[in-house]
Amino acid sequence: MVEATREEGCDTMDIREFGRERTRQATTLIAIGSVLGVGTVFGVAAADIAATKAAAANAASSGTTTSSGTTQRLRERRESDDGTSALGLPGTSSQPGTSSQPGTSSGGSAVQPGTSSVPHGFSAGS
Amino acid sequence: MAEAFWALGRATGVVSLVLFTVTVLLGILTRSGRPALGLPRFAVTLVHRNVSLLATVLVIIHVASLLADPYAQLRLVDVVVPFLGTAKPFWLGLGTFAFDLVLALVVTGLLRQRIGQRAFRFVHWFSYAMWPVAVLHTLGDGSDVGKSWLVLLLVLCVGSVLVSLAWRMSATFIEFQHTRFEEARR
Repeated sequence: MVEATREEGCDTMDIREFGRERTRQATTLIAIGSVLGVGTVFGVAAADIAATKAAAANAASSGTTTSSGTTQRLRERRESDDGTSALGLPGTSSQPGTSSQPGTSSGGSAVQPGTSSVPHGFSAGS
Repeated sequence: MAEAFWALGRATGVVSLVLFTVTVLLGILTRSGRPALGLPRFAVTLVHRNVSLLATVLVIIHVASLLADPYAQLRLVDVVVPFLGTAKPFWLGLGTFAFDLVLALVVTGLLRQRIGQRAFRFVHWFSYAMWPVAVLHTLGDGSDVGKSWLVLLLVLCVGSVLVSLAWRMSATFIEFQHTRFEEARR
């Protein structure tokens, strides 16, 4: 009887240890996957931002506008905020020369308070 | 630097949504009382807890990075109080609402022994509200929503949760359902 109890206790300990070890392994695996996921999406997002920035610069120099998802999103956000173009591109501002943001306004583009550049550097000729 | 914060906010937002999906799936699996993926029953619960904490950490990084991004124009009050944001207040507000629910779920989860099982379970039911709200926040406010990879990811997340919910509501959900009913009768 005593032997049986000892064996059961030993089995219980083994199962607990096994479970904890599996928990550690699974958590580590998911954590590694998460870090890789963040890195991958960060890379994709950074490439998207860089591409949009380059497209905006090209569009500004050629006098046309771009409409990629990121550009569109930036424009929508800025227009919803203060009624001006996010990019400050020629011909894209709905209210040229105005800005509801405290700070300065130049060339029809809204400027963040306390900064001297257009958000995310999406300015004409940047 | 602002672009880096923006990209980090996008990345942590997407991955935290995936992790919350895994958390919901593991939560449903925990409730069923079944072992799975080579894990004993209690280990499924532990992994569920660890993944939810990992997802919460990523959400905190998501919020912090967007607070640091001047373009997002996120204020501290927007982190806690929903629907006050300057840009897309409704969709941003859904994110804030989901974040508040996550905090409530995590705090009650960590204080489970102190607050009691009934209060813990009551608050835990809100996880079924938190997850779809987070999905809607992604759809309405996500920068990568138009991208095929995110659409695929969202379809997988929503599909897997719908399937597991259907299983959750099926008659054969709980492994020892008969035993549980017997215990409840006593």
